[in-house]
Amino acid sequence: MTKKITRRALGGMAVSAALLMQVIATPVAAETQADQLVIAKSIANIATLDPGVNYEFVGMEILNNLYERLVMNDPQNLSKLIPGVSESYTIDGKMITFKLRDGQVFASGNPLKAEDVIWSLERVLQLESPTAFILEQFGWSTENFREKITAPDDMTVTMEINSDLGAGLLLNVLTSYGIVDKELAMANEADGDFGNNWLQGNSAGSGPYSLRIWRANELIIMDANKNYRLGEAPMKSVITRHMPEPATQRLTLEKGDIDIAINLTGDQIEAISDNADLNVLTVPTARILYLSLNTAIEPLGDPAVQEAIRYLINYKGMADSFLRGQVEIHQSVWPKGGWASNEANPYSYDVEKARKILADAGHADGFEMEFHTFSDSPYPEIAQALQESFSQVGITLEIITAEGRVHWPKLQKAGHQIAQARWGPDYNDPHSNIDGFVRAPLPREMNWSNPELEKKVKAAAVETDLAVREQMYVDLQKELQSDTPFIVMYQLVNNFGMRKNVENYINGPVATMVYYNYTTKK
Amino acid sequence: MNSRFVGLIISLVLTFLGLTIVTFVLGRLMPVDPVSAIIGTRASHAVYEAMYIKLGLDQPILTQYWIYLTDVLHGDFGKSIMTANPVLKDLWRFFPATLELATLSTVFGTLIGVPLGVLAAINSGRWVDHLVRIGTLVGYSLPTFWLAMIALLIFYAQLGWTVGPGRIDFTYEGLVTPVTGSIFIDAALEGEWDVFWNAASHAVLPVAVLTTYALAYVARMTRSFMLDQLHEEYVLTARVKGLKERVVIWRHMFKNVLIQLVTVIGLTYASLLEGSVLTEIIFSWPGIGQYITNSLFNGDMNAVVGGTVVVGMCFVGINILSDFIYGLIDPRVRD
Repeated sequence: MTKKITRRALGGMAVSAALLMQVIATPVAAETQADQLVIAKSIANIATLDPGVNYEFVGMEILNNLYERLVMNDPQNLSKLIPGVSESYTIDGKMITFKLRDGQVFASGNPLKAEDVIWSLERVLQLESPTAFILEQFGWSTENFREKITAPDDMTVTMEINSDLGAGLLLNVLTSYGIVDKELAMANEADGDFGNNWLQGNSAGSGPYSLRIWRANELIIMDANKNYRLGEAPMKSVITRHMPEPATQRLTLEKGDIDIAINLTGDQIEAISDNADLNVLTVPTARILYLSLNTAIEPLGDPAVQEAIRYLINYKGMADSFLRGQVEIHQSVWPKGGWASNEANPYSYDVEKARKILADAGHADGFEMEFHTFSDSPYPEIAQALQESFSQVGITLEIITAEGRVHWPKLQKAGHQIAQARWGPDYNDPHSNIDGFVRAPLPREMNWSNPELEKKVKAAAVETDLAVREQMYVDLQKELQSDTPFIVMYQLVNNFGMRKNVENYINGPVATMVYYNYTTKK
Repeated sequence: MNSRFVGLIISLVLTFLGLTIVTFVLGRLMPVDPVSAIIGTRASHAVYEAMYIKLGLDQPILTQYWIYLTDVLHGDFGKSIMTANPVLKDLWRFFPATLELATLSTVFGTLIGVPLGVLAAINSGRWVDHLVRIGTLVGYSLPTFWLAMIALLIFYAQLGWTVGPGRIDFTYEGLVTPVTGSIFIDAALEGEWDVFWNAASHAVLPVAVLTTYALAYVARMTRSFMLDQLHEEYVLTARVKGLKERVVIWRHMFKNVLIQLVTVIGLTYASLLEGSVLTEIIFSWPGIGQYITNSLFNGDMNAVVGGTVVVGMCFVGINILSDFIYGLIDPRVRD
């Protein structure tokens, strides 16, 4: 009897399973549509799509396609600036005058006027945005903004710099600020928020795309803007899917359910290199990895110790092994590939040299130190590699890992000893990084200052001759490669997996150099 | 009855208070700076101070908790730093996604696990029993993350039997008005059966992965409970009286293990409702597990506390439901 029950039960289950599969499972519809670009990446960090408030990179890439700027990086030559919503500009000392394009409209159809430009920048200060400090460095505030930024007519905007900084720097800064449709945004304003609440999930720009859907941690869908001044983009919609797991990105890329995978790891990139249906696009980012030494902790304040540490890093060994495909060796604070970059890498792994420097400085027996780093790969691996190489000269590192939100405040409060850190520019100008490392905010974290260097940084910022300014930055970077408590190791590299039929996808080192509207599919 | 009801209310209130106090205090003690999470790390000191005061962080922690509690009792769970939405709105979006997976996995896990467990028990020592025991042991022991990845690799990538990750195809985005938050229910309400079946096809793999865990646990416990009953005198009596075996098993033995099973199924359901974050990550499923985890990593304590309260109250709700079902099964419990 039991056997009969058993046979019936097992048979019933098998039939049910087969039926279920027939009903539910569907053949996979491979390949995305010809006029649709599907990108898989982690969008967990996007907190807002208000262009005046957003300060993180992933959101900035989206905003770069929703909103135009006064000037922009040339998609065909990313190190060059070209007019954006402005047709032309002239520089007269501290004054820049922008001429806007006649007949230009936002995606809503509203005409783009000078007041939209001024209001878009003014609201950054009024909202006390995380990026307000970038505009404030030009001597602007909510009190004087309308005096310094004016509109002689609907098609003209003048900007008067109210600090020592130069027009060249301001132009680079302006590539980070999208121009917002004031009429549309203010029609959706609530409680004096300048449209902030509404703009967090809607767009009011003139860029090649407009926002259709944003679901945090899930999906972003943008549609081609028919009113875009350069014409409707070939990709009629761009879909960004939140896909935090790189392995899942790889599988969906290979199946053709997505066109571009953004977060593939080095070993996955290697694995897909032989796939005839896929291409790999390697793009250096503008982010650098460096070691931050807290000089208040002895003997990290000793320049000899700082020098010795520079020789204890196995740059090539790590880059050729577990960091393969993720980094390029780069030892300057401003990443290579951009204007005024310094590509000299004077340091290499030399234990004996480090040992001699330490011995001459009275540290022949080494010392113990805490090493703070991020908990996500590959940072613990880097820490372990450094622990091994430092141990050869008697320096014992105690590795302490923490999630980013715990690690960063520790650095900001100078609560670390040696720490692994990352840095990326706030805008596409070497002043962003160099000022950050020399004046603020990073020197405070390292309990360090160098007034002479600060003067040089300021001098470069106010220099109006571009060629002279460029050389000043190159010289500064070389100077910062020694006798400083920050040791730049690498520049991060992005590797994107793409379907072979995807062409002309433009992704530069910074978020303001990501353009979807030139992408086509064969 | 009245005293039971009062006891229930007191239990609910105490649980709610306990949940919120513990999570709130832990959140404030965490070395994560909620101010920097909003304004970034480059803001001026004046901006930092203004936001610090705006968030009420200058207040004593008891005052902060009291303000938070009174807001929550008015339905205001605060705003999420990550999504810029009211937390309640986020929970309304993310929790149904997890509810769908958890409910389907529990239902299938029970429908398959219970008969398997019974089969194994009545065939104790035979090949069916060995197969079920080994299978469920493997199913329960396998890391969910690994199983999810393997399932995606085999059934989606290599065999092409299922669709890929995500909750629904883009083509169907926005076609159904979210009323309940469940795509299945909302699509059915609007008669959008294409959307319904597309959502079902996307749910197959994540549900199958979670069902494996639920099924394994339910089957093993069912087997264990049934084995205990097999040696009871009433079973021998029933057989001697000439009752059919299936009557002995289902009408007598199985009834006696129902209460224990309800507990096991309730616990399984509750643990799945926590949001299997690794499964959600692999399948890009926008559920509460990912939401709470990302919130934690971003120091978004409003979202963490809100999510914790929801999950905690689900536990309480499932316990209450279990108690109610006990009463239905066994009148002695009602008394």
